[in-house]
Amino acid sequence: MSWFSVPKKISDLKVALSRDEMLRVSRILIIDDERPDLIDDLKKARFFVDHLEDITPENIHELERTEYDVVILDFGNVGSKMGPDQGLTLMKHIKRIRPSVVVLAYTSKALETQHAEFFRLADGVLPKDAGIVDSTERIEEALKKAHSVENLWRGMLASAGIEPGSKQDNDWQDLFVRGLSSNRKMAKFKGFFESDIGKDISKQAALAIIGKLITLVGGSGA
Amino acid sequence: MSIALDFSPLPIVDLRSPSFPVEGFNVTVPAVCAKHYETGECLRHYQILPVEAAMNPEVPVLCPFGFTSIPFKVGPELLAITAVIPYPRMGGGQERQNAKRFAENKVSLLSAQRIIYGVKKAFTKLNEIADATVQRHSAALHEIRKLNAKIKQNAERLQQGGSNLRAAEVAEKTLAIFQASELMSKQFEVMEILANQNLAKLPPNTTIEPYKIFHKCMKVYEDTGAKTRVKLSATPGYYPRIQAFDKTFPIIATVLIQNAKKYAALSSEITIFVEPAGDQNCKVSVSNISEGQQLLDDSVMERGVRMSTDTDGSGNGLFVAQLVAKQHGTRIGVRSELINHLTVRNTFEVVFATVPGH
Repeated sequence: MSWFSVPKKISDLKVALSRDEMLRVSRILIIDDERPDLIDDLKKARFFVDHLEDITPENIHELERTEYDVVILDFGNVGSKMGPDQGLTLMKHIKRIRPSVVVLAYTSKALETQHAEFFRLADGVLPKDAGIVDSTERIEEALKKAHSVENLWRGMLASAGIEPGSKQDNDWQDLFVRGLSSNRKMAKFKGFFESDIGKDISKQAALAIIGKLITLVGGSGA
Repeated sequence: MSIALDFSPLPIVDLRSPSFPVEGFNVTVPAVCAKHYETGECLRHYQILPVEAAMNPEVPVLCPFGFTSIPFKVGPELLAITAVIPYPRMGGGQERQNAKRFAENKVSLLSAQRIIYGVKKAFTKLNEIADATVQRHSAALHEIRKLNAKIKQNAERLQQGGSNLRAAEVAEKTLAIFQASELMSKQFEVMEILANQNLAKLPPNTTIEPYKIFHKCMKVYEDTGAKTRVKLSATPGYYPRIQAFDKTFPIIATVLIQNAKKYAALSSEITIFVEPAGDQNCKVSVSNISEGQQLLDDSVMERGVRMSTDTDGSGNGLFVAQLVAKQHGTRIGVRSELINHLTVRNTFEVVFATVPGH
């Protein structure tokens, strides 16, 4: 065995999720004060879609507890009870607590300068007057991105407070990819990972993403 | 170049990209300054002014040729009144010479400060107007895009469903397309009048029955599973006709019904009533019940005023409806009654002169 070993990278992993599997495992949340008719079309097309009229301190647990892959987020008249900037307040919150969630900006409003960050932070835009076919295509693209290994790993790092490209990131990538080949190695990775994460509740989302990655890649260490 | 340069009575220069001063609309740049500018000294003077301004804002600074500049900040812009001879004087022989030759450019420091204040105010106001215009257009366009979504998506559903759709489903989707298209037309009509208010000054060209117009507009807002009901009634046997401009009159009906529906409490009823008001007038009132809203007064008819900020809207509808009411020799009035501490009944009323014999 060569004792010169090339570190493994997440980019070495290949994931092939069929459309049917992707629809089966994906969850979408639409946050809009007016229930869009599009929801019925998406459900007919076998997307799993939830709708909330708003996020408030009373129902925020629904967003934080459930593992949504894509959030389609309106700007106007949502998030007012969470902060002063309507949808932008929610956008920032989602990006903070669930960095791997793909968020589509669901508005056709031309926003004021101080709210333009809503578009900058979003992973894409879904215009309110997009047709059904167009909307479905954009949402599928968003789901593909949400389920990509790169997106999930990046989200996991953000949740764990680890800088991408850092030594810890590289070490974890190497351990994780090697861990997929055997239970013993995956246990080793999990041991290092949980010890680095510690008991910090704010970083527990990182653990959940690792679980998702293992399921996605289908490693024997699951 | 800053738009503030157009609002100064005195010569003025933009210090972020300095060049030869812009003429004031009261006081011009002395002809001799053109020669001075070619030396490059003036440009160097303007380039130093921001540093001076940072240390001593709005303090006069003598230029190399005996004139004075006063730098000031307005919003993100850095400007300077320039080519003036202030009093009290800054000092120096050149300044004295300039004062004899260019009396027009003599200005008191107090006046200069007042002018600076005026430029700042004009600039701020312009920006507010520009922002408000952008916002109103954005809000109006947003409404149209939502309606466009209904048209586009229902057309797609009809196309995808094809012959598999039941007749009732086809009828429902076709109606949704028609309604959205009609509402979009109404939006365009409001925007047309905003763009050209002369339309609301044209004289009546026909006679119409207000009841029929309100009935037609009401039908557009009917939808299945409606959260609010719209009920139209009239004094029995009363079918008055009025003089009207047929292109604009329906806007009154559209806007009053649309507003009533938008701000109505869930499961409440909107009532439209047509009744006599004296021997020669008819009154149309549109009422709704709303919750958690302030009592309304006539200010709600002013341009840009919103009844609430938690729904979409540009604040132009009622303003335009009032213009059309004036076109028809009347005005829209509003009354609010508190029913309980949360619930309000709002009534918009408009009285028209009827055509004799009806």
